[in-house]
Amino acid sequence: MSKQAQATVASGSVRSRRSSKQLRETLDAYSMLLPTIIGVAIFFAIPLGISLYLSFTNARLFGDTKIIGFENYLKALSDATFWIALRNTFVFSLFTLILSTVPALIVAILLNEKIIGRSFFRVLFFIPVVASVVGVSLLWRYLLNLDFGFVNYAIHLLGFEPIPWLTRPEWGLASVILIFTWKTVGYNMVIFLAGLQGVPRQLYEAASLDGASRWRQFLNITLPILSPTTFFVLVTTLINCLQIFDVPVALGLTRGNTVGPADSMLTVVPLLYREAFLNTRMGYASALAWILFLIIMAISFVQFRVSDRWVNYE
Amino acid sequence: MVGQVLQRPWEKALAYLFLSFSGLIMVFPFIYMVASSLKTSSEVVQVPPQLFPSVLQLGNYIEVVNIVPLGTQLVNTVIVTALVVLGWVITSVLAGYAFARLEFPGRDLLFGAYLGTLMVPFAVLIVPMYRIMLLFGWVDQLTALIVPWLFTAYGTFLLRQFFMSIPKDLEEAALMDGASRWGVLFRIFLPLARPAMATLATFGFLYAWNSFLWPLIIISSPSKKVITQGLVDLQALYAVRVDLIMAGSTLAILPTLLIFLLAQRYFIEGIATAGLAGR
Amino acid sequence: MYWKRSLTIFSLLMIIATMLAACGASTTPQGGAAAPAAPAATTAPAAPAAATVRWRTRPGDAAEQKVYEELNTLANDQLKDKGISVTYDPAPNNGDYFTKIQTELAAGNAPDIFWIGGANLADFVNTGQILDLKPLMDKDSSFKIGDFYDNVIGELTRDGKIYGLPRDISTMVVYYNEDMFKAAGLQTPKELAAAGNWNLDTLLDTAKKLTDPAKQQYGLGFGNWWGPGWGYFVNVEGGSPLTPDRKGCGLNTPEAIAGAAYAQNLYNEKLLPAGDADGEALFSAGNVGMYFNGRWFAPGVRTNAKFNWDVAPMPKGKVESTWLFWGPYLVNAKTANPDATWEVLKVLTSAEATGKVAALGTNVPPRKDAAAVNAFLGATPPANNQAYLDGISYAALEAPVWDGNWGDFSGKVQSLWDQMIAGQITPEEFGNQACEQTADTFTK
Repeated sequence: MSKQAQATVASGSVRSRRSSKQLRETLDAYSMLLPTIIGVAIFFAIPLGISLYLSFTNARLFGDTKIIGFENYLKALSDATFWIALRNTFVFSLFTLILSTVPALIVAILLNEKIIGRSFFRVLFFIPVVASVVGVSLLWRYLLNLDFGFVNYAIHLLGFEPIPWLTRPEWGLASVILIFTWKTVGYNMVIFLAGLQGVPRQLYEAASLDGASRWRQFLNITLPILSPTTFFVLVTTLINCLQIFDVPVALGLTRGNTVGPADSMLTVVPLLYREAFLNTRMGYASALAWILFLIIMAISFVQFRVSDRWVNYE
Repeated sequence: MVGQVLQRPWEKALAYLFLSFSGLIMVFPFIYMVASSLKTSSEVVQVPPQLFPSVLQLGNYIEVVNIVPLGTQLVNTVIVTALVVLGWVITSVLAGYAFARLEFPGRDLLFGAYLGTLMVPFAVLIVPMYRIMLLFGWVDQLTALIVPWLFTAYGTFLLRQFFMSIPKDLEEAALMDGASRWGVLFRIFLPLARPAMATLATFGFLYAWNSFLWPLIIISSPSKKVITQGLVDLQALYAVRVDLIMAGSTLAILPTLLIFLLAQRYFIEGIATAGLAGR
Repeated sequence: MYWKRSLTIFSLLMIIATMLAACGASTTPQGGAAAPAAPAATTAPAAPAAATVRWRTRPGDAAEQKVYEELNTLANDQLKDKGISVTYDPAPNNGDYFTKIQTELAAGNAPDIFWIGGANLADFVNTGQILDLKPLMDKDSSFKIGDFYDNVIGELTRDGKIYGLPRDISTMVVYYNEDMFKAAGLQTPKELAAAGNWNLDTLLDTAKKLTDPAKQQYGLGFGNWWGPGWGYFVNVEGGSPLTPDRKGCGLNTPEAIAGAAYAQNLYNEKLLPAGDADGEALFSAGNVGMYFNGRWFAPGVRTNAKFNWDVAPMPKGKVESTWLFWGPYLVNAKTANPDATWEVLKVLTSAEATGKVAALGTNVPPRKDAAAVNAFLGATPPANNQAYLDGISYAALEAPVWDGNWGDFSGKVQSLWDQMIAGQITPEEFGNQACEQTADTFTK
């Protein structure tokens, strides 16, 4: 394919070498991107366009639809539930971003050592990642139960008062953070482990000879070389956190239509899911999705901008 | 770089202590799951809780195998997962390389837009997606679980980050010698990218294997259901039998665990020979 | 090397899977038991004699699913001569049941007949998704609407149009652990009711006497949702969550607040397990003395309870009260063949069919005729099945909110209720804030 491209470019005659090289590169790039572009256009861009349109309507999933301008967006800004959901989303994201990355890096560094049983430990940390949320949420509902749950039994044996994880509003979000962290640490650990393979051994040897402490080596060698990986982990974890959906819904959606006691586990995506399918307000739900999208976009944009300062390619 | 951090014996001991304790926390829910799957349903909600069953019985597993058409669902899930993983790897390698190493107009804009696809909650795309499936005649077909999911901005991002960390001189030498971009990708980058591809394949596997909302909505026929639907059905139809559900969850997790056991040695340890550490 | 072998295995697996998928894609969907749900209904055959009708309901458990499959066979047998073929298209009994049906409706691909919960009726009818059955009923002399409970049909009727027929009904009763009462030497709810002394005071008294933290034993239990939760306690003190015309909130009345205060006290005194569904498991494990629930609870208790148990009517407050939960089969307005669909609906709601479901003990039949009722009364335990039927006369009906959004209303109220039972707000604040916050869920 590239030979053909070269041939067409070559027969295109009197261009300077520089621009023909440029053209060839563009052609190569777009032919590599072609399957992705087609797929994303059909299975993502079109649905997305429809949802953007719906966000400006009073659509109720079906029936008559009327364009109402920015009404849904304005309604969201004055909707107390939306603000609660947004606050929960940020609190959740902040905690899980720290709790699921820092320990993951520590564990990855330890499990990069030549220690006995490290494959075994790697598997231990990764098991929560492989389990589906469908199975795991029920498991945790039993583990965290106030009366017959093991977590509280352990707390009781240690001599403390049992914690009403899933039954009191003040503990709802903490439970979601706990479970999400538990499920994500292994995931980030694996990515860090893969990244750590890129750190050349010679660098450490040279540094040791220069008498640099291990802490210095970590700061000056490991962290910079790991920075593209760290960047990837931070960006994707945050994007996932801000869209957290399955854990709160599987854990907290009750017959009373709340997500956790007093909506304490309610984050933005469960809210818009509830608006769309339980309260049949598709237009409003679409507007919420677009507001969230803009927020995530802005945060990611900042992350990319700031990344120039600390991410070290090559 | 192996063996750099822990040098003194007490450091190793401390590391073991930390790893054992946190490892136990990670795995305890599964010990509980397996233990519960061997109990009777009233034992599961016993107060105070008992971890181990009074009588060991494998009856729940036999019952699950008898009521859930596990064979059909396993075949469907394997087909869907294998193709999605294949699609993920191929499209991500191509797109990741293009975004990492090629200069072309619209690159940053395209990459930004592609990353943007990660930021839209699926819940609002369900209805439009369903309509597209209806248009293509893919409702209640496995195709609906495969084709729309062959592309991944996540994977493209992963491989872009990986390709960007490979030294430029390697490829510049090859380009000087007249190799094409495709040649460089296949002969130089692909061998180097094996660990990243293995990581991506594992995540693609988990993603496809564990997805449940979309299959639930688009697949109705028992002959086309996937494993997660089997699990949802089990939870719904045998809600009073927690022991049975735990047995089903244990069975559902086994294939994914197996894949990880196979893959982890490759994507973490095989790397030393794959070239990255040798530079 | 190890990874090479595993990689080979993995790629082999992929190749096989690819080939399998290629084969699968080329074969058109097979018929038979696993008939494809979707495309069949879209093309209406030229001859009206051959019609396909697809129907959906969510089974409560595996046994119920089997009965629905049997009903499908029954419908096929009875309607074969009319050239109608019937397909049962089940969907899982969880929150995503509604996501699925609504997605299909939005795309114009929903089943011809589908079940929903009674409170959701307005959402579907108001958006024009549901066929009016009145004309079909009127021209069918064999059909008698009087066989069904009048109050349920009343809820299905709007402006002279009838949108659906009930699949089942269920009142709420008190399940109680007879052994626990015997051990404590207390009168059971059934005995108290027979003596005319079964009310909120004796409930509180009994619950206190049965509660024993040392034995991890709770006197009482009920799910934390509107049915056994705020709906019941507000009703039984003479209030109502909605105004009589259902166009506004009724939770700020003194009666409603009294009900809320009574419930808050139960939680404060720790007489029941907190959380929504935890109590169900604990009742079956023998740790809860009394539990408020609908008929759907019975099969689970039968499976898991290792003690003697029975049911009794709900306790009286200022008034007699319980809920009547019900769920109708609706007909999709876009059905290709309304006449054929009507025939299928009649079979699904016949005395024979509803009797079959009732015999399992999961539901109370929606019909008054003896065949269905006797099938239900024979489904023991519990021995006192009559308690479910006795409540029908005075029960409040789960009711569609025609001029509002029930999902939004109930969600907001529940959130405040959760705060109240956690002691974060007072019953008065609950009532007042509920009516303030839900004002915009009603259309003016």
